[in-house]
Amino acid sequence: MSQIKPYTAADILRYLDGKMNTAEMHLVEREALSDIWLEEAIEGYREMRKQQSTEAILSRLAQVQPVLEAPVSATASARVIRMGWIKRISYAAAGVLLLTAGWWIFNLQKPTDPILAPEVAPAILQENTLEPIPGITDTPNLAEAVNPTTTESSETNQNKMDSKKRQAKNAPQPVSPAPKVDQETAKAEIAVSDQKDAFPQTNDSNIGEVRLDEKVTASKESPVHVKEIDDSKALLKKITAEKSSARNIQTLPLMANLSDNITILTPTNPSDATPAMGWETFKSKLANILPPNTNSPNFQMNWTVLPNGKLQQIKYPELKGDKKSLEALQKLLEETMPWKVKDTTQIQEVLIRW
Amino acid sequence: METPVYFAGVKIAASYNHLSDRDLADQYYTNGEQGLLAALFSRYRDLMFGLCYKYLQDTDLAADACNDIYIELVGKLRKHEVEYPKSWMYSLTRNHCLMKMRKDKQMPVDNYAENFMQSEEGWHPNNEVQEKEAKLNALEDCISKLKKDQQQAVELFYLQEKCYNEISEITGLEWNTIRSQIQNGRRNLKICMENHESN
Repeated sequence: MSQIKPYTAADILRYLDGKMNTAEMHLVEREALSDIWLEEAIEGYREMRKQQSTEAILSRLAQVQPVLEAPVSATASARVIRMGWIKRISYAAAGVLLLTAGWWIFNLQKPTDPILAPEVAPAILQENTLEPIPGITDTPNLAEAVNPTTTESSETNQNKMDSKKRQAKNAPQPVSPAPKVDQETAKAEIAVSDQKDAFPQTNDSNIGEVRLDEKVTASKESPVHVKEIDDSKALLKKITAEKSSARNIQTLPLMANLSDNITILTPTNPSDATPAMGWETFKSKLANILPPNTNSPNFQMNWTVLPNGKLQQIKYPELKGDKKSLEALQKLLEETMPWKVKDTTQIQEVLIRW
Repeated sequence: METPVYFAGVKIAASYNHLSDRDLADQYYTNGEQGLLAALFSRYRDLMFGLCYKYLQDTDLAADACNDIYIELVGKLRKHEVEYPKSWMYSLTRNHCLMKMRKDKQMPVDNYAENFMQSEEGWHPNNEVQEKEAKLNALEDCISKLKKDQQQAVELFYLQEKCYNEISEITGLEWNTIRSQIQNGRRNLKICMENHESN
């Protein structure tokens, strides 16, 4: 198919400038009558010609040329490329946002300690309740709680807990804030603190614990403290009497006497629900964690023990804002699981006051 | 005087000059080769520039419009199979300029709408000899029925092949008046010819 060459700007300007012969002009005019585009272009150049000289118009067209040369192609491809990059960046940003949001949501829902009971739902807490302790179950119904699969996983968790216990043993014990107690207790505390220096320790991780089987050279202590030390030792021995036969080295918190301030209100019979480590050890450890009670109304905390030995609905409003104590308490409650429950058909409430 | 058009720094292939508008558009539609589009665009760039200037009345705006239209072509000719690239590109250019004017609130007075319709005739010629003969007879009849000034302008222009300047000298009329008489004469002839055909 042959192609009629369209008129160029130069042709049109030649026509407008009268530089064509009459035959050529007639041809352009005839063409323009049947080609509206040519006619309108001629009109446009005629308008242009009124404003600018032919040279200026052609020069302007030449200036347009670089825009049409490189940019025509380059503009097109550049726009495509630019659009591509914009799209890519948008997609990447959206992806990153989604991942971040997903990670954040996942972390909100996930227990902070994945070792313990990852399969259970977070505790249902009341308004005045602090964040649920990870690993403490909130099984909605009893049937689910005693489900064999749950039991199986709790066994697995028990193994994990054992390993965690071992780790915890090697790790430094949580340092509790110095409790403000009555004068007598304070004295005992000073005495026991002194005792810590007096007793040789195996390593730094045993800070806060005394080795009862090692002989203490009383002569090293000041005479004022000797009696108090003996009293403390007697008290500690009494508390740990049940377990002392199992091991030669028995560890106990230094401030075990503070555990006397802890009262178990429910269960009325402590053997109805017992922490894995036993009530006495639990109380002793708890005493090291809890902040001193300086207010007249007693502080209290409570939770529910499920038949499978896990805890739920833990409330300890007095610890709100005390991050250190919270963490330590969380760790301690994890160690208490599984609780031994006498009546496995019932949920047991535990209420502790100090 | 034709300025070469480059695509990505490469000159448009010389072979493209032998291809028709339709072939360039079809091949570009098929393979997206930018050189084909550049070749097609370069053929009508000057007309496009003149047309855009007519509407926009500014060389910079006209130049920008040409660039924008090229960008439009890049995508549109890949999406649509265009049968008559020239008339299609004209419509695209005109619409682009009108849109631009509407955006800038400079709506034009469109004097050439009917001419655009008439111009379709030129792009679809009928070469049948017998029909041509019949049409010539009808044409003579129709010319004789035209108004005197229109008849004179049409005869001078079409039969004696005079240009507007010559007709102006002969008739003493202005260039625009002559063009107007020829256009009106053409339109009336067309109506007359259609009446002949229907009879």
